[in-house]
Amino acid sequence: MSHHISNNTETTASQNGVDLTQAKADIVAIKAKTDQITITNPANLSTMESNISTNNAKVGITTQQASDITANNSKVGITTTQANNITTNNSKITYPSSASTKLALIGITSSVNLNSLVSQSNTNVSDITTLNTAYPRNTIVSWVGNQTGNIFFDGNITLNWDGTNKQLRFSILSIASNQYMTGGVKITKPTSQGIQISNYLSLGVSTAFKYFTGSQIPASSSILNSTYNMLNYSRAVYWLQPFSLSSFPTYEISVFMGSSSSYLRIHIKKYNN
Amino acid sequence: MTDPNEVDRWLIFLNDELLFWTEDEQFANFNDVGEEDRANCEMLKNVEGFTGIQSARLVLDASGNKIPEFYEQPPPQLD
Repeated sequence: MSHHISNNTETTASQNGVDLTQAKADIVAIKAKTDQITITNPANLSTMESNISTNNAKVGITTQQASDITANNSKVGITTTQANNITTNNSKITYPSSASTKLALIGITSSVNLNSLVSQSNTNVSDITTLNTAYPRNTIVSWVGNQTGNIFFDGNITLNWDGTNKQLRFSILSIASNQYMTGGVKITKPTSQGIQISNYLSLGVSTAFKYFTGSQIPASSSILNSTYNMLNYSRAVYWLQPFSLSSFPTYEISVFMGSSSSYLRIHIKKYNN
Repeated sequence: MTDPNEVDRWLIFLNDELLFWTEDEQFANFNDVGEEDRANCEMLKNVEGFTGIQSARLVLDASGNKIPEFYEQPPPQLD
């Protein structure tokens, strides 16, 4: 603005007229600009300039950051209920796959009460025990007639076949030292249609195999009576019975012989109580 | 004994005829034989070819050694 009135102190009237005209135009121009400004409170332009300078000096965000913000804003968050559900699920006891595999192996088509099954099983066990004492337990053995060895063991006795003399013999394994075992044998064979003998046989626990054919009281005593050797085509029935002990089993053993060097069939019956 | 699944077998001969055999070492002796016969007993262990239900006897081979020979018992003869 070069035509300022205050700067024209030495001018002519015509000049002043021109200047006033120019000043008026200037004022109009200034007014046109100030009309663009709206302000309702005092404002310090210097402070504003300083603030603008400070803001211009700030570091902005990168294009990638702006893009990331836009992407995050578009994401769907979870609700409070969902967050609570996650917490609840995390506190639950897990179910291992091994348990699931086992469960899949169970085949069942109707409801079953396991407590009832256990009760029934216990009843069956009791019934089996009752039957074991009510009926003899049977054991069938095949054995070669000229083979020596143990053919039966139950913790109370051992039965042994004497392959040399073709006789059964026994050993008492568990009985009180003052308890006798009695017994005997009856044989049918080609040379005799029936010989038999019985006696008390042993006392206490045996340390040798004893024959069924006579008393062998010392623990290590073993006395053979070859009269009772089995032969081809014969049968023998042996028996053992405690003299006065009800808790010790009773045994009845049948031996069937075809060829003395081939298979015997031996039937052991054990009676309890 | 080349097969680990096989068990040991002892054969006891009296007067060259198989008297008895056992798979239990505690019975592999002459204790069940009458004292008067024990001098005529011989014991062989793990005789090849013995199945358990054959009859067996000891025979002399060409070198004069006793070797086991197996044979089947003849069936009973009708009178």
